[in-house]
Amino acid sequence: MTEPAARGYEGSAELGRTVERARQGDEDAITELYRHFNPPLLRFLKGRLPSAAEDVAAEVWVSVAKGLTTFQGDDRDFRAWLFATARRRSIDHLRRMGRRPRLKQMESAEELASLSVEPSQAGEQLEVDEAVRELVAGLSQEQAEVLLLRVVAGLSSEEVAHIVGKSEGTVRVIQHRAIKRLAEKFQKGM
Amino acid sequence: MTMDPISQEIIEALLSGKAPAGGLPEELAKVKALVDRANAPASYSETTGAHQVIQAFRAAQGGAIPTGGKGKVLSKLLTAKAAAVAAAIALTGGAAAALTGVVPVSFNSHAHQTPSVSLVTTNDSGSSNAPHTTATTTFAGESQGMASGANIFGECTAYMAITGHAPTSVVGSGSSNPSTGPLASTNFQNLAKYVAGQKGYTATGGIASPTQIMTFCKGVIGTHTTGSANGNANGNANANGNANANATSKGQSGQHNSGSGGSSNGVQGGASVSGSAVVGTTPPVTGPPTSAPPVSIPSHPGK
Repeated sequence: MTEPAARGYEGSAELGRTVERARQGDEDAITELYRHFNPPLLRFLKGRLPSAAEDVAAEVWVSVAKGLTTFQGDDRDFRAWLFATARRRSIDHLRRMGRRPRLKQMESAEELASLSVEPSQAGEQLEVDEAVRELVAGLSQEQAEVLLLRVVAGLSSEEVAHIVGKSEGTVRVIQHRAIKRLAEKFQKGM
Repeated sequence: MTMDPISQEIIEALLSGKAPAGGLPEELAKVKALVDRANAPASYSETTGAHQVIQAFRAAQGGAIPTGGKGKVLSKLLTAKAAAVAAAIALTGGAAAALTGVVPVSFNSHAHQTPSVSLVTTNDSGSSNAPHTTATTTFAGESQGMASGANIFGECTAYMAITGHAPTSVVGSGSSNPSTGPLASTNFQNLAKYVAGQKGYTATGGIASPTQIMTFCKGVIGTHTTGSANGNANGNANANGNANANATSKGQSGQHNSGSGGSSNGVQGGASVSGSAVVGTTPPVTGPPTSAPPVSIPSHPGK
């Protein structure tokens, strides 16, 4: 079952045509895809790898650029491919760094606040980054990943299930617990 | 304070950004606000940098090396390969490198016209559709038209195939008249002279006997085949004077055709196994070097 696509990321004929043009080597279309997909990609990676998001995003785009001509599918498929690549790259990065994805929960907003933030970033961007960090704060790695893929990447639970290698039902349970935890956090803070 | 259960519909609405602005419990309204903030419109810094993707795309299309990551590794490999080619060219005047197929066609075609490489000629009545150069020019330090050990191996492989004394690794059979058949070719005459000049192979008139050549060649082929786990040689000969000897060693291949009624379709026999020691990372070449695809060494985008 395919759910309605997430906000602003509905599959569109226009975006589908852009993917097709990019696949055929149209550089304007590639630029358009980058502008459309890089913001959610960066946000997803910032939620996973705050200090290496931009480097890993660059790796993801190089990988996508290499495989673009052989890619088959529409804009939804492209989105799923992009974020599946991003997830793999982030896991690779964590392996390279010699540590496994953290399963422990992030204890507090203070811990999150300690993560590096470029001083040159605009206030607007800081706000977005902060929201992404707050979104995954207190969540398990698994919950954070699913939530980011649903909220930031704009993927359906079916698409997320495919990417993380779990059943759709399991993904629904994970996302439910994640939202509940966030709600509990806000309730405690009230 | 316990929280009311959250329905699946509300969860989906929150995740997809379609939750209504009002009517939500306060804690869920805050979740919605957080989701909205995380999905704020893209900032300038998030949308810049498309040129790097374009560059990577161009590199991928053109076979050039993208910057960073694996590109660096690839670059190093290509540098090493280029160095090996340069060394091969320096050491053998371009012959070994070209014959391994690791240099572009322009190098290849030039190398095949290099006299020092072309040891097998068709001075007989055989036709040839490959460029040939007579073996009148001597290889550095050698006086009888024989070049490197690898070329000797090629000659020996062909000789053994024609005379039907191929070792177990050489598949083929056939016989020919030494005076009129392929054994009369300049190449084998050169081989006979070469063997005669070797230590322990003294011969009258400076020409080694067939037995001496065979003994010598068995030694040469034995050394080559035992020295390379991947080496193999195939020789085919018939009584009509057609002889083909394909020798492969560490992925190198070549073809040797010689004979009075024969035809030569490939590059001269010495091409068979040359250079395997020089360029050890050369990928297998399945055809004669002249038909091998060029291996381009693209320039680094450098942007």
